[in-house]
Amino acid sequence: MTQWQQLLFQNGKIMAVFMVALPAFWLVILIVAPQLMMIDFSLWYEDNVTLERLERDISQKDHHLFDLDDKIANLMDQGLSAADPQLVSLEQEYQLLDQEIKQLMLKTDDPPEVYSPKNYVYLAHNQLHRTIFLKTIWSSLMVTLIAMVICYPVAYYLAQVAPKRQATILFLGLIIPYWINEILRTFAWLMLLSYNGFINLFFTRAGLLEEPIEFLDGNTGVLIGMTYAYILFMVFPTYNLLQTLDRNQIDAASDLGAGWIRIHLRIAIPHAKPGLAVGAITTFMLAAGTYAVPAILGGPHSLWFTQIIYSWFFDGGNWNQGAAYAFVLLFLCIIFVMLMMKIFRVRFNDITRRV
Amino acid sequence: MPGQNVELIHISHAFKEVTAVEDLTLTVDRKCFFSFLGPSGCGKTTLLRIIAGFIRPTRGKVLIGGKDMAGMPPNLRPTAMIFQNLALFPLMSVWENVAFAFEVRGMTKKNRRMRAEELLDRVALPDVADKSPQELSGGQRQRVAIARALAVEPEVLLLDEPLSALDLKLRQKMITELRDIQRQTEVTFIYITHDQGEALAMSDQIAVMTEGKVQQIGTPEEIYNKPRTAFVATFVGENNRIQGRITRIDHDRGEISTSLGNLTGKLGSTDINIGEDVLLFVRPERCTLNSQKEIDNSITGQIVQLDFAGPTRICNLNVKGELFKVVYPEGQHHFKTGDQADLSFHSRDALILPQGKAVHD
Ligand SMILES: Nc1ncnc2c1ncn2[C@@H]1O[C@H](COP(=O)(O)OP(=O)(O)OP(=O)(O)O)[C@@H](O)[C@H]1O
Ligand SMILES: [Mg+2]
Repeated sequence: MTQWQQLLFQNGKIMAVFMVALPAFWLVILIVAPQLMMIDFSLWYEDNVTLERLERDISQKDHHLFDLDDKIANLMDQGLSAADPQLVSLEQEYQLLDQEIKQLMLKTDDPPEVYSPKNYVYLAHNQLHRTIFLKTIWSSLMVTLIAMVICYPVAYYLAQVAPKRQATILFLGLIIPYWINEILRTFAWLMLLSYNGFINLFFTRAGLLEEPIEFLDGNTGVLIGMTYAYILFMVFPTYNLLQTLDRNQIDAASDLGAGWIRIHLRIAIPHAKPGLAVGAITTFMLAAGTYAVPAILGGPHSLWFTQIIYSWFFDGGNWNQGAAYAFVLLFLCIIFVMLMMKIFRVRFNDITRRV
Repeated sequence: MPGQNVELIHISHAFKEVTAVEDLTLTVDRKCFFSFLGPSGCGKTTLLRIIAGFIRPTRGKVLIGGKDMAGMPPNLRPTAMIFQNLALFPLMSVWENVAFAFEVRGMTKKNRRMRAEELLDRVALPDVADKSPQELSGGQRQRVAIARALAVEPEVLLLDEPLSALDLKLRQKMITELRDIQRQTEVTFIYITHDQGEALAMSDQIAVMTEGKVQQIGTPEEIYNKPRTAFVATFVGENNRIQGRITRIDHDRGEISTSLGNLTGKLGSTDINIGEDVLLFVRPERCTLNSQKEIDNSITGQIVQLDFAGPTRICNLNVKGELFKVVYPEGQHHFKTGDQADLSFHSRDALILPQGKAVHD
């Protein structure tokens, strides 16, 4: 039986068609097509030199047109009849020029574009943007690491230590904040972290700090906010895997003399590795692609690469340039993730392995 | 010196409402192959985990080699445990599994590998060092688990029904091997099983347990031939059981009156008095059919079933509504179902025990 026949047999015709069509729609319409369009978009370069020359041309011709208009008006004032040959030829010249200008104007409305990698070259040559790009990758990596360090003990506690009732309550506690919109949650952090915010107020009042800390000036605020925003994406896959870890394995390791550090390093973490990997990839991608958190919690020194992309699209009005930037971000993030998977020896079939 | 004795002193353990082990006191001699035998859920695993140190008993003490183990975590106890599901580490290769204890002690990789291979040789498992445990057969995995536990050079090896997942043939083979390994290493083995065949075949001493309590401790022969309670008599091996009331006591013999008439047997307990309700047990292989000789107990019944069991034949006999089982060598008789037969047994082969909880199978 082919796989299609099997699907048909198990689910009936309507369901089977649906089950194939839906992922196909998802894949083609929502992922492949937009990305291809984006790539195509990013390769079109607005030919500004030609455009400027055109515009110069138009303004020159405009001047000429004014002059002609003046001349005609003067001659009319001097009492020349409209049928005078001098006036008729001037009038003709005027009409011709007007036509020409209209045609040129049409050309600028549809600016000349060329297929070229210039949008990418621009990024490569722009030192500031390059720095911001690298910083975005680095900070996203930090967010991923911090999230992992926090998430693992939480997931382990939930999966292996907490009694069932307690685990349920803790889970609710973890999920409920995520019912609130991401932007609102980030604003909540803004209130907590600002110079006169709750945290500073608390520590200065308690006498633990002389001066409030500027969380929001540099990266600190962004890192905190982002770790908080995405940590759940790490907790769930890790928890899922740790839950399948046989308690006897831990007991056996302990029986063979291992202390708790070794038990985690040799038994629990290797077991949870696919979960941690899924969590890390999700967190990293989300962090590198976020806009809201750095926009709200960041200062001028913590510009995120997405903010630059945003400004290309909406402030600079150069969509092609924006598309090139967005594609570079996507592409390099994927390369980076694959590299990390290679280094930490996570394979794709580890991630999809069923336990 | 390997092989320490284990003393359990008034051990009790309760999980919330369930009492898993109840006031258990016994001593396991050093270098002894000691089995706990009992039905499922009688608290065997709990007891083993208490000895290993995974569970702190609600009451009582565990002494190993005379030293109190209270408060000592599993990794510091001179015990090693083989889990009911083996609990091999699936992400490590076979040799890494075996060498885990060496790794803990900070041995170099080269030495670890060498020692692991020595241990694998010892359990007759060469050439699998680099495989993953999932690639091995059940019996091989069993041996890996044993090698891994032996790596800590334990004084006491705790085995939790390690053979229950194997098929009959392999189980029989492993029984001999376990016995050999125990003799060779001189480690004290504490072995848990619900399979009386395993326990009888391997053990120096057996403790029969039910509902958290030890019913009897003794050698396999004592347990089989001189059960002291009705539970042991029914749980270990096959036994025919007849209910009755004591009518006469003469030294170590008693006579009981039953629905099948008067029968005599040995008294299995000293506190049996005239007039008490008792049970009389007689093993199927101790009964004979249509014997020419004069035997003190004899009843007549009808054969209802004949089962072929290779070298023997198992005959089910209906005597006035009671079913009796008789085992005789194949070829000794040529009965058909429905035949009448005389069943007889010596009073020295029958055992009279007070009524207690018996296993109904
Ligand atoms: N963690 C636990 N929490 C609550 N009750 C438990 C726990 N572990 C065991 N019990 C109960 O204690 C009793 C003894 O369990 P134990 O596992 O020791 O039995 P066992 O003799 O090993 O059985 P089996 O042959 O099935 O493995 C059972 O009634 C069981 O339900
Ligand atoms: Mg058990």
